[in-house]
Amino acid sequence: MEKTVKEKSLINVLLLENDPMDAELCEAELRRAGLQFRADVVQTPGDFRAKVEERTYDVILADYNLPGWTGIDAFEYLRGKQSDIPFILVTGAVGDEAAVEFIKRGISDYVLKDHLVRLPIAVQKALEDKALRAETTLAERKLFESNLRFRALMEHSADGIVLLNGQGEIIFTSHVQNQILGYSAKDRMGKSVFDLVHPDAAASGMKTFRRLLGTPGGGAIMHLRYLSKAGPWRWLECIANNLLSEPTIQGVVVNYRDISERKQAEDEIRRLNEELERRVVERTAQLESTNQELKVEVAERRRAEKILRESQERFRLLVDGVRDYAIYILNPQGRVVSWNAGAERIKGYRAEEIIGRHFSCFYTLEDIEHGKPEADLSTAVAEGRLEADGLRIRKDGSTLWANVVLTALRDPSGRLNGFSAVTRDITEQRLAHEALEHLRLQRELILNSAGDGICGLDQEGRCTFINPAGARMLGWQPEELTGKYLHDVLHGALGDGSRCVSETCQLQAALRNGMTHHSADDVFSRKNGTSVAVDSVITPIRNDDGHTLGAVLAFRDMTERRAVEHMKDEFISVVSHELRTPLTAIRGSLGLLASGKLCQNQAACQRMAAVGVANADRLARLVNDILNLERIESGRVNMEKKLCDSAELMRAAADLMRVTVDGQGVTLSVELFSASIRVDSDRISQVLINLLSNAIKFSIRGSLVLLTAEHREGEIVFEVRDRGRGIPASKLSSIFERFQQVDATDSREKGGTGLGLAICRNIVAQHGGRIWVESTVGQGSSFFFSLPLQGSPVNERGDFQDASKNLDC
Amino acid sequence: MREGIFRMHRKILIVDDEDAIREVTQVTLETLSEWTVRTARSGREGIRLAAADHPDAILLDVMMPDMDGPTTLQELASSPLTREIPVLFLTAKVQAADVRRLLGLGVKGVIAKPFDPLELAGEVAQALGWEPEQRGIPERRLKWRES
Repeated sequence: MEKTVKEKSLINVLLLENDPMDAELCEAELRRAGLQFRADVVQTPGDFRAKVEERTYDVILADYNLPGWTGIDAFEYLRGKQSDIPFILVTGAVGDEAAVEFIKRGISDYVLKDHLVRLPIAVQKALEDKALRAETTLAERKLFESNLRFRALMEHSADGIVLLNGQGEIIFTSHVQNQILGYSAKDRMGKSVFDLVHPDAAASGMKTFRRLLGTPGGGAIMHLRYLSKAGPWRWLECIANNLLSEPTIQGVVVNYRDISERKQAEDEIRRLNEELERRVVERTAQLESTNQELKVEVAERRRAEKILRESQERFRLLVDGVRDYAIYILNPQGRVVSWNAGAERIKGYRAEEIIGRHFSCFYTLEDIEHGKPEADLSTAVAEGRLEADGLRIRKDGSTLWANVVLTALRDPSGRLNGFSAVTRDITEQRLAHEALEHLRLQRELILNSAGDGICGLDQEGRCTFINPAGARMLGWQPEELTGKYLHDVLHGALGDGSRCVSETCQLQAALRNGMTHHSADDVFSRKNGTSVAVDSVITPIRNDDGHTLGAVLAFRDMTERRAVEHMKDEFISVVSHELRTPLTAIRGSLGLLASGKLCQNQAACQRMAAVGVANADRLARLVNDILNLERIESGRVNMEKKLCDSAELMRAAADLMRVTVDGQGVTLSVELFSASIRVDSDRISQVLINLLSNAIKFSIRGSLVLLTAEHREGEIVFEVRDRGRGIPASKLSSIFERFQQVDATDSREKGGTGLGLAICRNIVAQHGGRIWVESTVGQGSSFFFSLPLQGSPVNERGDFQDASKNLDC
Repeated sequence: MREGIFRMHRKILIVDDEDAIREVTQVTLETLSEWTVRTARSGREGIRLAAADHPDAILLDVMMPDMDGPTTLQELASSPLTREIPVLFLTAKVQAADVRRLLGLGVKGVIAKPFDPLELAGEVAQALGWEPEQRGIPERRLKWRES
């Protein structure tokens, strides 16, 4: 052994000694023992560390007591550097305890300075120990390295491995630091593996483990959740093998790996699968539902088609069977393509006769000439449909009135397929309508020609119709009144400003109580606000059960009649006045005379008696005139018409006037005109005398009154002209009325009754002639009257001219 | 005193277009009463005389040319000079409706023509509310009736 060390090489010695003498002593001792060595001496820790780094030493000799540090500090430094260089302390004195401490710490040996002879032995022993140590650990190292490799493999494996004893306690764990669960080996060593298994798998896990214990060499696999050190549960896949009976292992080996992600992925996949399945189920359900609907729809459509087919069939049968309507189809050109029984009946053609023929054969020749069939088709094309009444020809040439409906038939794309024609025979209807129209016209004619107003009212009192006469009387157009409340229109504002109260209005009453009402003195308002006096009858219209449906109002404009009545009243009043005036004078004068109060006054007596006489005469004249007039007017006086010469009549009248003319100091000039006239000579004389006496009465003394006559258009026209005061234009029209003197005092002064001209007018009228007056105030008046001529005049100018001159005064 | 004398001597104005009526009426009243009578032949003249004389009463004809009785009455009523003079219509219009209409015009009375001359003054006095004992006429009438 010794030899080996010597032979091997020079011994490299590092000497840590602050005392150079001691260092020399150490080297000397080593040399003395014959050792081949080289030595580096260092004193400070820095030098020591530098030398250790710098080269490899076989042995280190260190002083124990060094300035500021010890040999032990140096040893510890080397230990920290994993150095296994033999380290020998060279020290002064040292107790047993310190020596034990040195050895415990692992230093190789120690040598006392006062016993340096032992140093080479200590060095040699340390070197031998080191060499032995190196040899004995070589086999161990190989095994150890194998172990290390195995451990590294396990450490770097993704899987974890634990070894369990029969109680399930962990006796080995593969990882120093478990990368899967985060525990260190220390954390889990000796603990039951089941402590941290998820409660839902703990029982089954233990059960599996116990079963595994019963089957040496058997294995089991299970998935379970395991609590990680960080907190979350991790899914583990565990493969356990019972190797308890295997001498080298003597445990249950459990391989486990983290399958959380896989599990998560699986869960995700499962979830996705479930989702997918759910969707599939849903979709399937939808499809089934749709399918069901489709089935229903198809069934429905089939049913509808069946119904349609049946309907079409029924329709065809119906059309075929219809007898009151001719129903046929035309192609777009107007040729008949189908023909029903009604068509055969109405038109007279059988289907086989008519199909293919143009439908214009149903029209009259005149219509065909005017292109009506084509025009009708065009209208149907343009408007889709044409309905018209017209005359049509049957097969046998007879005519009928037809109502025709032509409808254009189009396919869904709008292309014209043809026409359907439905024709109804309305001949009877037409005749009835014409008869009705005739009646209506007749009724209208009657209503229109009626002079009275006729007006229909509905239940509410609204005007339903009014005839033209009625509308005219009220000043409305007939159509304006229709629909208006008649009461409001007619009684809206009465002439006297008052309003007719609806409750008491007879128009309303007739509708209310269903009774006929007659009113002789009603007043209706006109459109322009004026009023019209009417005689009205309102008659309710009732149906069979007595219900009032409306009323008919008939009314007559009474304005004229009331005016006539008013005139009559006025006339009576005037006559009464005219008769009472002389009567008053007579009664007064006679009363006074009879009383004897005037006896003392003879003159007064005579005067009163004269007044009485004069007024009695006046009264007598008046009565005569009134009676005359009345009798002439009423036609009760027979005109004794005889052929006369007008000149004779003029002469006779002039003769009669002679005395009067003398009294008035007026000149009467007569130009005789001879014509043959057929008249009552007394009456015509009366006219001439009346006119002449008027002229004389109103002539200024010394003026001329002229009587002439002339032939004018088949008539003889007499003229009496005076130079009197004339007649105001306002009186010209009324002067021939009774008691219409220009001046009422005239009758007193001139002794007239106020009836003379009225009598003249009546006499002339009775002869078929006219009487009129022309006058200028202040210049005189000319009264004319005409009489029809009987044959040609005898002569233009009679010779009475001279005689008349004789009459001049 | 003056009042009594006035009563004794009534002044009456007669307006009528008929000469005979005026004459007979005037003679009647002058003979059978102590009243003073003046006459006018038209409404226009009547208004003038009324304004000038201020009579105690006016007997007014209704139907007159130009200006009839009612018009004359209206003019009399519109003048302060003649407004107070009582007016009676003396008329041949004797139908009930006429009389009603005339009375409505504001006259003291309507006396119908023909009238009884012996009654006339009494009718006038009665219509005007003149006291019988203050008039000579009624007594005379009574005497005449008695006789």
